[in-house]
Amino acid sequence: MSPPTSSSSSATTDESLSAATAAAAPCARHALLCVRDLHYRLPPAARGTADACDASGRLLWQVPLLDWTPAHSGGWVHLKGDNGSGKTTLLRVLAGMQSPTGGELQWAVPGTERVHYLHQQPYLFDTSVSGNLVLAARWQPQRRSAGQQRVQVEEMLDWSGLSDKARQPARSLSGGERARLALARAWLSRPPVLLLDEPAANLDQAAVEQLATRLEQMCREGCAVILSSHQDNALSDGCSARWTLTEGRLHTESLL
Amino acid sequence: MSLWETTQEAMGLLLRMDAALWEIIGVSFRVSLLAMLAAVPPALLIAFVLVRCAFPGRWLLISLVNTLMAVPTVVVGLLLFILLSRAGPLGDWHLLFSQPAMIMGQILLALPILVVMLHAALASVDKRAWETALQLGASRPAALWRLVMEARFGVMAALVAAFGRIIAEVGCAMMVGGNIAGFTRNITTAIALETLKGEYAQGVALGMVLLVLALALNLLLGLLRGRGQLAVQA
Repeated sequence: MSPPTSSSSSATTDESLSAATAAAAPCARHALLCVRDLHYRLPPAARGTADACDASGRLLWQVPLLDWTPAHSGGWVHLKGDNGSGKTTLLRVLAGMQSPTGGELQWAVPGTERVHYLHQQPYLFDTSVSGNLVLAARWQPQRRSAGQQRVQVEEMLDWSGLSDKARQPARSLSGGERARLALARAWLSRPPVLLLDEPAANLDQAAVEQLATRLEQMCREGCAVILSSHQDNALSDGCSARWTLTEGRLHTESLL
Repeated sequence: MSLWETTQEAMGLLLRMDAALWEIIGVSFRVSLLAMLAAVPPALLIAFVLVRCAFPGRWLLISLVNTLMAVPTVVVGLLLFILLSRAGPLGDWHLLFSQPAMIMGQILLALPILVVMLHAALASVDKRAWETALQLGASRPAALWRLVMEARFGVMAALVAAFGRIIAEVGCAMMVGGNIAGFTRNITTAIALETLKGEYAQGVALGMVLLVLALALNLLLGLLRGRGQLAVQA
């Protein structure tokens, strides 16, 4: 594991801590997410300018120390950063879909499969709207009878407002409807943590507001949500914390 | 006998459900279907590994499989004959001139074309499909099955093409099957034999079966390609 080159100035990070001290610090008692000396270096092939490189690749970002406990009052975390700042990589690392270059990451939920990541453009399977939900019901970690799965699918169709389009091919939906279907498909198994990569990208104002309504409901029901975007939008209004990736460092800020 | 008379006699043989003729057709279908059943699972796994996993020599392996598609069937038959002959390393199995030997030969012939076409089909599926299935809690076998379903038109095209290749091959079946009547005589080896004997009617009748099969498979392939393109556009 390569040592971090600088310390973070995030709200939960003590800048005076050395990397070794940060890495050894115990996790806060009620933290849902505990991060120690997490960093990601781009592979050498993807290096940028020579002065930004070292033998093991350019440092994209690092998070020396972060303990995150979602707000009881709901609201989500808005992960903000410029294009190319590493938001997607950070979310994928947090979801366990990509390995960091080094460091430790621990969720206080059993199994990383309970941390659900949604792509910037969610992939909809080549089947009907209800078919996509049926697959999610069949694959969910908790075992459910066929009857219970049918009820879940019906509930999610209602929740997403797509009941009248249940038999329609999923890929024929509009952008906003696709986003709602992907969210409903993810929410069907009630994951405790949901990571959304640029969910508002390519959506009009009305679609973003519909998405925000559903995210608020999910947060009220206890789901911890982190969503990324490179700029403020309608989804930024509902956030309880803001994490900003700047120059490879994560800055956290509570908005409560 | 004129070509017209030969064709009329061949039609008669087919329509009268001539037992010997239909037994030959039965051997062909049984051997080729069993070979497909045995070849598809490993071909699917190899194709999946080639699509999903990065390892040293991956492109070499892809090139090798592509090359194997061009190996003449008679060469595959020769290699298998050497392996299965009494003096060969697999001689103790006593499989030479048997249907299992024909099945083994057809598996070897089907594998390269299946791997190449399944690889192309699975590679055409968006990488997010695999990640999404796993994110939703699918096991790896379930996620792989979902990938197959996402690429179903390409997968079906691979199955149809491989089946068409092995049921119509003659070199390997002749060498390791031995063309034994009622046992290892299939459509292609029977055509070769009957033609040499001057019994053109049965050869033409069997040829008609192969032609109808080839036409049906090509129509199916065209249909699947069309549906696949429509699905991509949607």
